[in-house]
Amino acid sequence: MGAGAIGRGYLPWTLDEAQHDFIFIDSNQEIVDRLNAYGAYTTYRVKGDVYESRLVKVKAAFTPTTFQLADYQDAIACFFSVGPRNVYRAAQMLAGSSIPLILCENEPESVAVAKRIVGHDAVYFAVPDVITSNTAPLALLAQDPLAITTENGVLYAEFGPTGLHSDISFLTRGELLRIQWTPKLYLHNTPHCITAYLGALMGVTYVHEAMMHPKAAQLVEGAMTEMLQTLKLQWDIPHEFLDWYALKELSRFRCQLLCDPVARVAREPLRKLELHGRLIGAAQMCLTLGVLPQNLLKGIVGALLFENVHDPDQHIGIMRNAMTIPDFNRYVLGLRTGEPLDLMLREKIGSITSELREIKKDFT
Amino acid sequence: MSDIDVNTLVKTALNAVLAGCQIAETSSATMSLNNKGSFRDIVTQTDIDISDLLIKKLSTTGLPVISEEKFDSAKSNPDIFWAVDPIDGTVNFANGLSQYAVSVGLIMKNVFKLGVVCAPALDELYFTLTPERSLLNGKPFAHTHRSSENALVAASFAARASMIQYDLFKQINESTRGCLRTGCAALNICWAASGKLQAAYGFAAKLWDVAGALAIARAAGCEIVVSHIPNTLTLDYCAGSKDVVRHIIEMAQANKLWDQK
Repeated sequence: MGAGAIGRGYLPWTLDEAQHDFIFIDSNQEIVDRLNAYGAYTTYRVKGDVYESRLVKVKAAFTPTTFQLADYQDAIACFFSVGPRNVYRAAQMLAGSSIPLILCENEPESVAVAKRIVGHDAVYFAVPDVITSNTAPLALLAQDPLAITTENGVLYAEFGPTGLHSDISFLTRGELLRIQWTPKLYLHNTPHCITAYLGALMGVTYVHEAMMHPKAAQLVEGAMTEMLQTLKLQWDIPHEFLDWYALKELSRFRCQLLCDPVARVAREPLRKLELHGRLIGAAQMCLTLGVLPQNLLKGIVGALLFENVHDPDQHIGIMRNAMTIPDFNRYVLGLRTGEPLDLMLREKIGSITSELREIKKDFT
Repeated sequence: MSDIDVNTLVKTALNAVLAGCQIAETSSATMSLNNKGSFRDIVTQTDIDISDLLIKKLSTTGLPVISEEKFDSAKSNPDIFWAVDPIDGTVNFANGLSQYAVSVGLIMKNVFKLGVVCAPALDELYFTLTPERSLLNGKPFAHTHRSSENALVAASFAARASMIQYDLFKQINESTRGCLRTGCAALNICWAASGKLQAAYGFAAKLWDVAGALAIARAAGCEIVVSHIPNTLTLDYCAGSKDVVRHIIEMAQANKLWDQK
């Protein structure tokens, strides 16, 4: 379910194609038509300074309106990579079936949502520790319009699904959330989206291009340091592991072969600004533990300034312009009036906006 | 609305409603200045202050504004106009209850096009981004249609309600999961739109009470049935899940409260 970055680009690397057929469901008619027309596509995995490739055979591809559940009741599993906002609708397509679901959605609550809809408990959370683009360099796209690039990652999932021939690393739900999801949310998702928002302000196409700008890289590294300090204070996770994780992520953001689009990583800024999420939640956690989230605050402002007319959250600009900062903080971000982050944003948003615009000016 | 910039209208209405909420939250003028012919139909100085502010801000769009507190019937029938309720649920507001809202709706040729409804004491801000898209606190939402046996419904009553309306209230209360009377029609409709309730209905509601909320419900995909009372700015309405609205209308018709059509 979802033939984008993770679904099309990464999952085939984790599953044994000799044992399983791949069936895709995606709302993008163009992708579905191409998958059906070609019957295969190539996914490229970054290995050192080069790519390795895999031709993935496609048994069938459907849009939500053409998919017939009755034809696939015996599926071994259905992997979801549709975005947390779309889990509800996607799960409705499988309501009443007993197909196990594996949700690669970076949102643990999505499991409960899907369970309610499908009406069974065989719904499992998964954390793909990987960055996968939803496209590929032009040279590769010229050979195959469905080409896609990914890193070499690891897919972690909670114990439960059976019958899968795969490289998935299974953990208990508790371990998965503590050791994989928490570091991923705060050491990957948080600085990754900040890089993308800076990239959007600079007008670059790919995440690695943003990291080439010294001020942007310094800001991203600063946000990473704030998260590292906070996680070390907050969680019982080995510090060496967290340090290693942070370095790994920064090197991923710089990977030029990945061609990770800024528009993909920055999309849906309101989701990224959710109260308990990767930006607001991260900054609040820092403040709770006495770490001043100066760089995170810049990332938050970067998200507020994100403008893309094709983005589902493009109305963020209308709201920002129509509302006072206190009203925006309260009604859109969900902050309590007068709480520390509310006050910091009120005080700093003007100067940070100017500073971020300077990065853009420097770059251009 | 092709020659009118929807974004500008939305921004102006949002800005006006939030400024109105600021007055509602900081005002101490919750004493009733007078009642308008019923113990339930009261007005406070805060209503008047917010009304003045909304009219001033919305007038910058160049469109006429009809407000509950400043209503000039001679100018009441333009093709497109704002309908403003400075505080819907003034009795709740005056009693320190949270269920009140500042509400603005844009009506174009009898169609509820845009709306902003804010309940500051509940931190809930509903608005239409376009005539097809409703948001709650910045996040899009769509109504999920449910059946009447699973429905929680809310009713609003005009200042002078008939016994037959109370009979209908009882019948609906007993044929669903319950029927609430919150004292704020705009919030009833917004809650129905966002799925907290499954329908909201009312009789002889004033246009300004429900204009903003009905635009929000319409954009969220609710079933909406409206019956305008001729030569007045009042209407009967029912909005929510299709089955639930049908159920309520059938019961209202059986009680001769709604025309058989």
